[in-house]
Amino acid sequence: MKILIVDDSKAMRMIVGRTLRQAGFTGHDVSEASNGVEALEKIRTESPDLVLSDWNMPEMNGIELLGNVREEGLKTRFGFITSESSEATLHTATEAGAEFVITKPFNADTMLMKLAPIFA
Amino acid sequence: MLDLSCSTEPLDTVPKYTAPIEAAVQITGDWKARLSVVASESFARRISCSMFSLQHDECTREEMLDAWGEVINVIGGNVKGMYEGECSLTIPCVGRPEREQFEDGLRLTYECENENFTIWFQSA
Repeated sequence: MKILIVDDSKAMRMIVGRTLRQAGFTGHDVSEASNGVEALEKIRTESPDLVLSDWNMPEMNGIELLGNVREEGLKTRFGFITSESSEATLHTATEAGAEFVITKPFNADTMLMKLAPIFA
Repeated sequence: MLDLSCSTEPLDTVPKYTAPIEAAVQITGDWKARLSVVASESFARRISCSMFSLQHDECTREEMLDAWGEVINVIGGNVKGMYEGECSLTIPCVGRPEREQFEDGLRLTYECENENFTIWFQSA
């Protein structure tokens, strides 16, 4: 599976990748983007199977990214990994087409629980 | 997420940090506040190295600033999530604190791995 991790923090991109491996999701093709603009281009050209995106980013935030992806008719599976933890955020994400929201901080168990249906 | 041992109860005093590093975010919208986390640069570097899975002092200053900013991003997002209404979180700003001492607002200092850090909360 091709996975795209999107976060403006390099540290967080590393943590997401590491936690994916700790949760047992190994052997996948993982790439990264540091903002929504870069991510959108990678989604168009590399066609990842799954996008794990932060919410709050410069240039194009996560919800804008998801909106653009859906506007282009792309069916890429999409979820948020974000510090935004309110019910309003969850509602907005779901309405926009996100399949899950993982709230920071998170651990391997959380990631396994949220992503197991995706990888099934 | 980082497997670090930290106190769950705040300390009674706020220490004076050596070469302090502050990461701050603003909450804007229906509710306005400023939230920051301050620690000595050595502690910020330890946390950063842990986030990058590096040995102590292996991460660059740029990586340290990035990681410390992510720490307040996580704290800020969770604090913002406790309030109703439409609010937004700014991108973190990281650097030396502008003020030497914590003035108004709520200051919570915790111990982590034999060092301290302070979360500073100011509501507008």
